Amino acid sequence: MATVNWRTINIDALDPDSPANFDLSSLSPAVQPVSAADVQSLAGQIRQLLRGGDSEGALQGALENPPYGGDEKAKEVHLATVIEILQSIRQADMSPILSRIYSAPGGSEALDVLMKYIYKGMAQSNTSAASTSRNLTPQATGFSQIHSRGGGEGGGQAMSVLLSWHEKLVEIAGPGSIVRVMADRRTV
Amino acid sequence: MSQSLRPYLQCVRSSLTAALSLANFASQASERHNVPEIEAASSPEVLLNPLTVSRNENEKVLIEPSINSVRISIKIKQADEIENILVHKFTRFLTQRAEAFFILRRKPVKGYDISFLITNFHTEEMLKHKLVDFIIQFMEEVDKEISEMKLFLNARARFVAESFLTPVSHGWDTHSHEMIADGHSLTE
Amino acid sequence: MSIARRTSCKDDEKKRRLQTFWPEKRKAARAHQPRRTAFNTGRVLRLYIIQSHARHASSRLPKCPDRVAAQRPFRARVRALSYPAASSATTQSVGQSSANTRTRASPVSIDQVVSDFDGVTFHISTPESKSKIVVSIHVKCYSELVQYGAQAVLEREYGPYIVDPESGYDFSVQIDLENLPEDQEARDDLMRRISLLKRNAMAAPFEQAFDEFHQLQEEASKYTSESAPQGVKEGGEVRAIHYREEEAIYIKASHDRVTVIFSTIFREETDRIFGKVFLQEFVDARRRAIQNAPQVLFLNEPPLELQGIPGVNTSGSGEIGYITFVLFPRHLTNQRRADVISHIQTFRDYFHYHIKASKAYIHSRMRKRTADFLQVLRRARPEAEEKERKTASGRTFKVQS
Repeated sequence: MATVNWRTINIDALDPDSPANFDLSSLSPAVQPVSAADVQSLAGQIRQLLRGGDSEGALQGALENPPYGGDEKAKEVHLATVIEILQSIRQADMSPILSRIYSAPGGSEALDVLMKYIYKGMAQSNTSAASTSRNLTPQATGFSQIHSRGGGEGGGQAMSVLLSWHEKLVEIAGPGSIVRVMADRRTV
Repeated sequence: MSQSLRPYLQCVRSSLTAALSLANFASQASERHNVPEIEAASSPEVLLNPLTVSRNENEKVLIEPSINSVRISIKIKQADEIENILVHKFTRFLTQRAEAFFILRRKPVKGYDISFLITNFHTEEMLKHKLVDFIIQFMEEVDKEISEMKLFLNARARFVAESFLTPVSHGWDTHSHEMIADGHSLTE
Repeated sequence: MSIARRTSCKDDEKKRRLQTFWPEKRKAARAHQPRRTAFNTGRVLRLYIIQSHARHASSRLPKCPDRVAAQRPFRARVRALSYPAASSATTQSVGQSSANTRTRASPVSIDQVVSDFDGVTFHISTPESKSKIVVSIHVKCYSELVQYGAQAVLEREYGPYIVDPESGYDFSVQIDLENLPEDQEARDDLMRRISLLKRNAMAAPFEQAFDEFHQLQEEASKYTSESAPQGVKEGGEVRAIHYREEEAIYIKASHDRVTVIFSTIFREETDRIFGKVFLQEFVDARRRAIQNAPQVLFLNEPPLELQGIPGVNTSGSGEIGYITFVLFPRHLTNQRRADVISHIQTFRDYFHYHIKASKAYIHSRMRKRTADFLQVLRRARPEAEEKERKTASGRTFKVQS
């Protein structure tokens, strides 16, 4: 007992009435729990659509069923599915697909979900890639030390896909969808 | 290079614009205090979901919004040891002058090179879109500056090496030393 | 390094003049007395000289000391040989005195301590009479230099001028202004020689190593590479000159080359990295631009040549770097050697000077860029509209918000 420095105890955390203990679950609507297996089977169906060439249907299907109630594992599976769809769509098709989804009923929500996935995708591959290959390349003893900066960095390709989706998405759904990503407690 | 830079900056710009909707918010934890909630983190319900925008694993921006403050952390590209030290020196130089910069945080968030903290008082006093412009311009120029400094260093090193070795190898050349003696002749 | 300036008869007038022309510099120099470098010392002396030069030669004092200095032929020559070493300072004083005799101005009494690179100190004084100038030098590693034949080199260079070393110094020469060589060329040569005091003292081990190389080369030519006896094959001993607190030069001769190794210390991470960039270019220069340059190698741990040498730090901490110059026979010919020795000696100072200069430049760039950023940020503030108000008496003024 004597080893605990009582001055450093955060008493707010122990007080049920303090703002630090605000019940965050009261801020979001109830979500249905989703199991990883359900997400997995959904991912299978979506891949089928994708293989059939219906990338728009695949995207729509993925965005309409975000696993809000799932655990981390389930969310990651679904993220991978969405990223895969996004990468399979050509740059020129982005805007038309987005506007069609937007004009469909519930389209605005679907695009908010897409925005969530774009941000999550950028945060995600970062942490995984950063932990594995964070190395400063030593100075090459080559002929010249002057080489251009940029190019060839890990994850750059995947990021640029997400960045162009983001750009198109903001054009169609507006900055409000970014605000909803920040404010929505239901995370993907 | 600039091809992937533009969507990156565009994405940062729209994310920042969305995040910079701040309101005055007094602390719930202690009376008559008004603190940036993102720093105090005493009330979880006023903290919003953080957004990450990344171009690749070495360049990213973390935007942490809350009700009355936004924390923006930038990771500047560092391809090798030289850029690493230049970035370190430059960000140190800037943070030492943080009081002149109003929105500059004295210490970067862990994992990033430089952080800004924008509170509702800043957005009330200053024009919001100009603040965003500042951050964007900062990101552009820092990159440019680091490349230029590196190029300068290499150019100087090359010149210095050659003018030292030439007289040893070919015979006496009185002028080679004098030319560079004042240090700035190379770039101006 | 610091300069002890002891006031003598005419110094007051000099000081007054200096303050008129470089008041802020004088102030700055005083404020940073302990940090003054050899480079600054050189500048102070240059001022001192120019000022006396001006007294004799021109009615108007020049604005730029460097330009005027460069116009003086012996000055330029000395600068080229030992730039930016302040050893030229000695030349200046002697030059001044001979100028004095030439223009029939009376010699003045001098008592001055001058610092040079590597902790070398000069003392220029006129202990007996105003016309007899004694120049003394103190070198930290003088005992090592003597061991490698410095005495002989100095005797060769300064023969009749050598006097017993002043106490506290290692070597002294005396010049009698009444008794200078008659012809102008010989005088210039004398001045030049004296200005090269440090260079000549430090050159001894190099000369010895070069001689040893020629000897070994001759011996080696008697054998084929396989049958050469051990001594010839391996080369001579390593000559170590601990010319600074923690840094040293090692010189080793063998039958086909002379290896000069500088150990140098990088106090900060930035120095280390900048140094690496510079050295990389030294290494590459041979491949790229200058085919017959000496080979340069850079290592963070002691190279093979230094194994088993006492006093070599083997921790390999990265703070210490070892720069190896491999001088090939074409650099060691008799007509080239004086130049090569003068040049290679200054490597450490040259190298560190450029590291510091780059840091300073980058710092000034950052300062400028920061000002630009501030400008941009300031634009974010809406411009306060100018309000005009009136005082009770009817005068208008603008409100500073």
